[in-house]
Amino acid sequence: MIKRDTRMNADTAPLLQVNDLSIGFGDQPPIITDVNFSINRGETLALVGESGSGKTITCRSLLRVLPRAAVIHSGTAVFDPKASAPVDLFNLSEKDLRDVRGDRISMIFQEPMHSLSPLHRIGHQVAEVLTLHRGHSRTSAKVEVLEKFRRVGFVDPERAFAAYPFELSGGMRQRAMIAMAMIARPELLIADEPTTALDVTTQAQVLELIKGLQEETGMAVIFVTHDLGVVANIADQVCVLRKGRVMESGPTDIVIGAPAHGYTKKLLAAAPAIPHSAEPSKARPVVDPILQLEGINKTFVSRAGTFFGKNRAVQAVQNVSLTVERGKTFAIVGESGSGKSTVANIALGATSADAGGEIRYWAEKGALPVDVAHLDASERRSFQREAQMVFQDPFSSLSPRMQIIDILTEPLRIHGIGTRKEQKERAAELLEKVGLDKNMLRRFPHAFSGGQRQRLSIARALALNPSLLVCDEPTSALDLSVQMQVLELLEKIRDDFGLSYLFISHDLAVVARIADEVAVMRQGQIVEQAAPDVLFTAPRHPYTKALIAACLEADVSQKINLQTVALGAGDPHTWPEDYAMQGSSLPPLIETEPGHLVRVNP
Amino acid sequence: MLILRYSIYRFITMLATLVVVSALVFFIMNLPPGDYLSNLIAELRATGQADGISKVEFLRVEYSLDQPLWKQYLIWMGFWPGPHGFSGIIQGDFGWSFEFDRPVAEIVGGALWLTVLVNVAAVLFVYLVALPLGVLAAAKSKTWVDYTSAFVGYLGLATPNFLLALILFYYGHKYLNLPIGGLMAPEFEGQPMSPEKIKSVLLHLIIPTFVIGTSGAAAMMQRLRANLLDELSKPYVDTARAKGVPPVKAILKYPFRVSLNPLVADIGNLLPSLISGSVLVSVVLGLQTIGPALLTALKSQDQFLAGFILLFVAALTLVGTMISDVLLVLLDPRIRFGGRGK
Repeated sequence: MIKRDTRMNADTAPLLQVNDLSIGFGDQPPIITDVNFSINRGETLALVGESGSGKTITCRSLLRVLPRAAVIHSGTAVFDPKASAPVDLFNLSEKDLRDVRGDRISMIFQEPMHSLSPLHRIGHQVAEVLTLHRGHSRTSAKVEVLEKFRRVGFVDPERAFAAYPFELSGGMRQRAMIAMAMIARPELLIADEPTTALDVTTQAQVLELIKGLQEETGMAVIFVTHDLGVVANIADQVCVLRKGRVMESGPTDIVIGAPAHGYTKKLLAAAPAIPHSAEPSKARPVVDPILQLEGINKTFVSRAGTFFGKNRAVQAVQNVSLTVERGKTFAIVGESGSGKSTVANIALGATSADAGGEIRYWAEKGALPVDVAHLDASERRSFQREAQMVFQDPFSSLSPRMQIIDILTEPLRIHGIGTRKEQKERAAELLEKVGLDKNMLRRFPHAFSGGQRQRLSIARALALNPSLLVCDEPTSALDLSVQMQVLELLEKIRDDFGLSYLFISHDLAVVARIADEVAVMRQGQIVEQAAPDVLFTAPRHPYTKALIAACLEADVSQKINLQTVALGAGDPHTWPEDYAMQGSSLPPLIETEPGHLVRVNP
Repeated sequence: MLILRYSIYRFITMLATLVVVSALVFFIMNLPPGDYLSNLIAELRATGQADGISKVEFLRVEYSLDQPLWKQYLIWMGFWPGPHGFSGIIQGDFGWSFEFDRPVAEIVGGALWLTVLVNVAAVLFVYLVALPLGVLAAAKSKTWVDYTSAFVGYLGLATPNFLLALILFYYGHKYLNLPIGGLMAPEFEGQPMSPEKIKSVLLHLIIPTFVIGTSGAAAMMQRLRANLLDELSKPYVDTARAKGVPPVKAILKYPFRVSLNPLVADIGNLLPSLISGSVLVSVVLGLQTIGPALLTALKSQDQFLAGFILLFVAALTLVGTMISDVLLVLLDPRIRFGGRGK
């Protein structure tokens, strides 16, 4: 462990001092060993590490919101030592701890989708904190909740109060969570990966909000994250964890700016970044397309709330045209709700597009294209062999009740390829292709880590020897260093087997690395499209610029003004005149220079 | 307002379903060749009692059994005028039981309400037992509380109902002086309601309720335990704990409510399974429910009696489903605003 704490001195006692913390599951060897850290009032401490490093368990142990089997073996967590009666959080009775929870120390969790009860109105869930700790009545709590809702950025607090979680987007739910955590004005806020599930602009907004609230109330923040870009931009102190031990800790400027420990250096090296400058390459015409979408529209009709009310139509994809070249990677980036996953599903024929557009697929160069939207049964079967999908979440896209061998041979069985013995050999071969050992065939998915599972998903997608892979956010659920390995694997099999990718992601850095051509989608429309070195070094569209600006990099010398990037691209009516929305439509998508398409007035 | 509209809408669809069910019941019952009366005629001919035949022929015309099947159905339901004008189920004329030689209404009259009573008591028993035990088993999962309740539950599932009935009768009578058989003391039968009669009925209800409800309660308890365990590991439970919500409230207010959905949806399924399951029990326990009558009617092709009972059971099921649907809408905003969500 390397500790370089320059701030600690006798007269400023920290708000929280954790010493020699060890936690284990049951009788097994501890998963957290001798962890020490401290945090001062008004300060932000980042707990950094990959999954399995114990950062989440560590921060949850402070309020003892732990899995049932987890036991705190030893350690003290002295909270507010300067007070007349400092408390050791690990020694408090369950009842006394309840008074601390949500009142003096509060928490925000990673999954805004699942961290709120689906059946209770958001306002009531937030107000509960006040009725529990402050003895407020329902009406007086509501006044404060509405005030807090306004502060965290709800335009219509009354409506938000009465809303149910499923009626809000991920970013809005996280705001509601923050309102809940802040309503009792805690002295310490513990944020467990609060922005990991959000896209870049929303992430910047949430970070800016937490920072702003911290300045107003002077609370301390423990920020748990695996994203060094976030750390570099918001943390004062950093504590790097690996396998339950502290590797390095100290002020952010030093730990991130000049890391001493090899592990920190490795983490920093794995952090993906958008290239800052490169020679823009010349655009080449597409000579050998494999998949082409032309004029694709998709309208979802959402049922009205009442049985007799009117249905509402939402246009998820508007007039999208794109061409994937054989052996290349075409990437679509965009925020959540931009319609990028819908395009992926349409490309595979899994979702049908509105009438009018066309999807063409060329099985080989110069062959006649098939129309993916109107396949007959036998054409569909052969198309399914050729085009496969890799999903985002490797934890839910593999059946937990099937052995790996069954998962990998299922596509072969469906399509009736080979004998059982051949299928088994094929499965073993696939495992080796994706860098796993073939004696793992009899295991179940739960025995694998996230990165290994994503390798399994890739192996499954490869089972039928496809030519086209549609990858829907294949690395978003993974740790940085694992992300890197999976990207390397994808690149390798693309080049080894001549695969073509349609790659969907919200992560610009990932796209910058793997793509040959990038399209930026905003609310169902492509606003800009170019080769990555052009797009990332000379973006033209204000929306693309805003997305790039919101990417946080692990570089303490280049802190980003969160306030500015949190605005995103703003209202399309306020964009520079050439790009601005006129009435309800954006300018046309035109080729400003060879290979660079922008939605701009000519 | 929304709920009221939904309830009306559900009620209308329920009536429509009931009409379809009635048609199915009627035609399925008529699938086997012959009917009660033609069987009777054949029997009378074979035994040479030709004089009885004219009476049977009279009945055949009286109850329109000489008409084509679709017309018989319409007349039975009261959509079509029979020999005496519109007189069918919807007019309150349930037909004639040939087997008992009495109007159907007279045979099932008292039994109907006792059937409803026994089954509603059983449903209440199921929920009253299963909910607390299920929650307890989930909250204390993998402790002796959990194991004990699982053991008792499996015992309840595995013991045949009639056997349980006999055992309970024996010990209930021996130690608690509970009455054996029937749903009321014999002296109250056919008497108007009186406080003593109600008391007698309630005393007689104890064992049948227990017998009919046990397996349902055991199954539901296990289901609730599994549902609740799933919910207990959801992040919103951690959120509640991190807010400082006391443990009991943290279970009952959040995950318990979410895990209720499948149980509420079960109300509709519970009724028919209890009723069909209780036919045998009713015979063993000598309960004056419609179970034994249904058994006799089905065996002898006594079509109006069987048809009416089946229709009644279907109506109970549909009412149960309707109640559960409306409750679900009340309980779960995701269903209430199904169209409004993202």
